[in-house]
Amino acid sequence: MAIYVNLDLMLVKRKMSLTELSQRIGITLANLSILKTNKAKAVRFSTLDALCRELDCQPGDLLEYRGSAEPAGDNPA
Amino acid sequence: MNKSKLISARIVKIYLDICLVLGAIALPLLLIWGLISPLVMSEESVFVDAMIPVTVGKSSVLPVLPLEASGEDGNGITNLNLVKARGELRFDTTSWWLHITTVLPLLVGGLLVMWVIFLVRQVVASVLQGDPFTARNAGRLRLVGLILLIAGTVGPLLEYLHADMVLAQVGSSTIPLSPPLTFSPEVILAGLIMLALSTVFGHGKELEDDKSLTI
Repeated sequence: MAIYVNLDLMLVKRKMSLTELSQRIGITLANLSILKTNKAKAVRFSTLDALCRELDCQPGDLLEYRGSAEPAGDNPA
Repeated sequence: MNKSKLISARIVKIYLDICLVLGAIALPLLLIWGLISPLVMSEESVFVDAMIPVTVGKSSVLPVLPLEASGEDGNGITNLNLVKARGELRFDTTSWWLHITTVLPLLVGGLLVMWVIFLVRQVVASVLQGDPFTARNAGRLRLVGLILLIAGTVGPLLEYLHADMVLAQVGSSTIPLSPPLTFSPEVILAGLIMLALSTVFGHGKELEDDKSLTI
């Protein structure tokens, strides 16, 4: 997939650990790891809302489109 | 899953477990009776209860046996025919090989039924665990569908060939007998439904993956 979640970058910028973020937004560490390692297939608006609120950023800061990336073979529809 | 569905799934699983236990008892007994007992019996002994399916008449697909009426003429009923009569020809034999060929289909059929029951039981067990949409379950249902399709198509052909072989040894009888060639559409239909269901489960697995990877 060509969409990347720059969660690790935002965590470094905010000097926050994944565990701390997990506790703040109420999402399990396992699920945040899936998000961080770009294994997620979709992100809920509620999750994005919580992430932006706690990391004090815009959705565009978290999500990035890399057009040159290898396609995952999934149908985007 | 709500409580009533959970209870019905449990009942189905218990029922399938009972079938498996009964099969596990019956099949070894059948194996002993069918394959081993002739070996320990003397050559003069008669092996009873060998049987083959037959149709009454000269055709395998649409057997017809013309009958003679004993009633008075002119009552408006003529041209009597016994159509599609099917039964089992039971015979005694001292031939060990003939005995084996009549027991073997029962044994193979029993094993296939046990296999299908076991696979369906595994699917029901995964439903009870709350995780039915897996690639493994899709594979199990596909296998059940293929077994049913093969049993519904190849089974009757083997039955025909076997009955034909035995009837050739029997020779002529008082009434004409033919090997039956009857496909069971319900088994083939069940196989097709299972194959369709397996694709549904495969799609369900993809949806489940989407759901679990939506954060």
